[in-house]
Amino acid sequence: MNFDPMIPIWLQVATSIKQQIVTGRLPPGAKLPGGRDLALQYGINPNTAARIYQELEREGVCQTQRGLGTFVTDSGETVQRLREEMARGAVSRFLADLKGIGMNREDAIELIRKEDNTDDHQ
Amino acid sequence: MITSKDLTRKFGTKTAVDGVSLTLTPGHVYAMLGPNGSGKTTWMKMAAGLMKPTSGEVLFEGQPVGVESRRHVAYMSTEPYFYPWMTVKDVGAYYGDFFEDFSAEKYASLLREMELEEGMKTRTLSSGMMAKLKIAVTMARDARVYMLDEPFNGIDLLARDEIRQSILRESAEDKVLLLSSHLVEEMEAVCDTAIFIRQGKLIEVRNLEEMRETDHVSMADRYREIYGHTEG
Amino acid sequence: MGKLLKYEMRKTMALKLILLGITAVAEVAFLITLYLNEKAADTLALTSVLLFFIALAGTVLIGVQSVLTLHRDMNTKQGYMLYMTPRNSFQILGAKMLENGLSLLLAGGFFFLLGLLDVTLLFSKLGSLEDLWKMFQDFMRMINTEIQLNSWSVLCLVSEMLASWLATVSIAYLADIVASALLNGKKMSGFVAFLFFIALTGVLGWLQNLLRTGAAIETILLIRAGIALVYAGIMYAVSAWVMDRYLSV
Repeated sequence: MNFDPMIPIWLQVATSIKQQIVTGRLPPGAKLPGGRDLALQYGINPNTAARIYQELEREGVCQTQRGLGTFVTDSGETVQRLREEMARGAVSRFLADLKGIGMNREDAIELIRKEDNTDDHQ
Repeated sequence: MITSKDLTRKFGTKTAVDGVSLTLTPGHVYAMLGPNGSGKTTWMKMAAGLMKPTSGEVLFEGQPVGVESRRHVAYMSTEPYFYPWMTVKDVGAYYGDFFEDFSAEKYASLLREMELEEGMKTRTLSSGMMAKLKIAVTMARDARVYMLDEPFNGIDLLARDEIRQSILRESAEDKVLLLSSHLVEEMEAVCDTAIFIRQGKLIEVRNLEEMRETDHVSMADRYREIYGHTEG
Repeated sequence: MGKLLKYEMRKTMALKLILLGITAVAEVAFLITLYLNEKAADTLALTSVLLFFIALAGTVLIGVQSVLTLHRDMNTKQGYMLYMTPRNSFQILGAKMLENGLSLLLAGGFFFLLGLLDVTLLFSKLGSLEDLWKMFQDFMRMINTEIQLNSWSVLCLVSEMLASWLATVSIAYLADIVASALLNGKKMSGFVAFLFFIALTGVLGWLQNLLRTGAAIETILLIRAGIALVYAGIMYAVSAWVMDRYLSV
């Protein structure tokens, strides 16, 4: 994974994990790699890796069971909530970008519809 | 852990390391940064016991650096240093003879990853292969402190990834890893603390993730901020 | 120290193999001449002198190489190999001195025995030479000189020479260490080291010449050898101490 070195790395990896959960690549209840394995997998410092699960746990995205490991939440509602959160985040970033070039929400909706059509034809 | 107290080293009129007081604690991967000639290598050599300070001291786990610290400190210099009559295998045998923490299995496995063969003579190795050999033999040790001076120099992309993996594999709660490199980007994800040195003096020590969170800068950006205006 | 010794031997192996090779060639030439063309007195003389010269030069070179190896270990990056090991200066230098001492002993012993063998073969083949030699010895006894050139006295002489050479090498070690560690390879360091070397060698010679007893020359030679060995020991101790406290690689 390529990191943006100006943004906290733990945040970028946490986002990546959330994406995998939301798309089902990491299904509910799936076992997540241990701290050291996580560090090796992503090529990041182990201290940074430790932070990631702390944060994800705080958000209810995963749970650590002593001696067993860290697991993705098996609550479908949590996954759904997460998906909505991430979607909202993406939308607001998109809208902010468009606002930056002087376009508003209606323009945005129009763009999406057009984009969607071309997608169907591909 | 390694602590330097007011460590100074002069070469005639030039002061290479100027009163540096620094502590490296286990469980961290440090990046030591600074332009050429800022004193990084000299500091490391004193910590490794290869160079004597002009004044001040450097301690390993509370004791002055010496025979005992060399048992547990693995230092890799920028320059090649193996005996020219040795083969890759001989280098491993040498380390095995003198360092109890050296693992022949790890060495063999690292050689495979780096695509080096036992029969190769050090005399005929290209600079890239020599660089990889130095890393392989150093990381095959199970040391308490690793100090790698320019571990990424002259090494191809894939091997650099290997080296980073090797560094991460060795990092542990009870170990200190110190990397010094001009390739700041290579170290961004792997290190957790940056040590900035300029003209022999310690400028600052920063936790990288904190720096990213509060200042929104990368290690490379901070480097430019510190060294950008005046001569290194 | 065994490991250190092992690697010091490896560092010096090449020279010894070359010496062995050259000696073998000269020896074969000598033997061939002796057994196939014994009348060729000048060839015999030539090969004999050659062998003698190789013995002398070889022993000297072994000592010189030892000093050069130390110099290289202290002043080039290769030295990291040695100084990063968990060994103290006494062990490091001790291994070097031991390797040198053993090499000189072996070389000295080897050439002494070879010489003995060659002289014996020479005499057995050329009875006339042996008679000449006996006449020479009788003559020496007649004029009452102490010098008896038999195997024992030659052995004593060789021992004294080897011990003195070992001591000289140890003086060179100290001089080089002082230059590298204390004077830090500055411009004048080589010259100062040289002066230091001359001075210490002079002291050794002076000490050895203090003996003025009337004992047999063999005894004197052995005592001189003993003095040289003690002197070498002192040089070693001081060198190791200086290295330990002051050397940066």
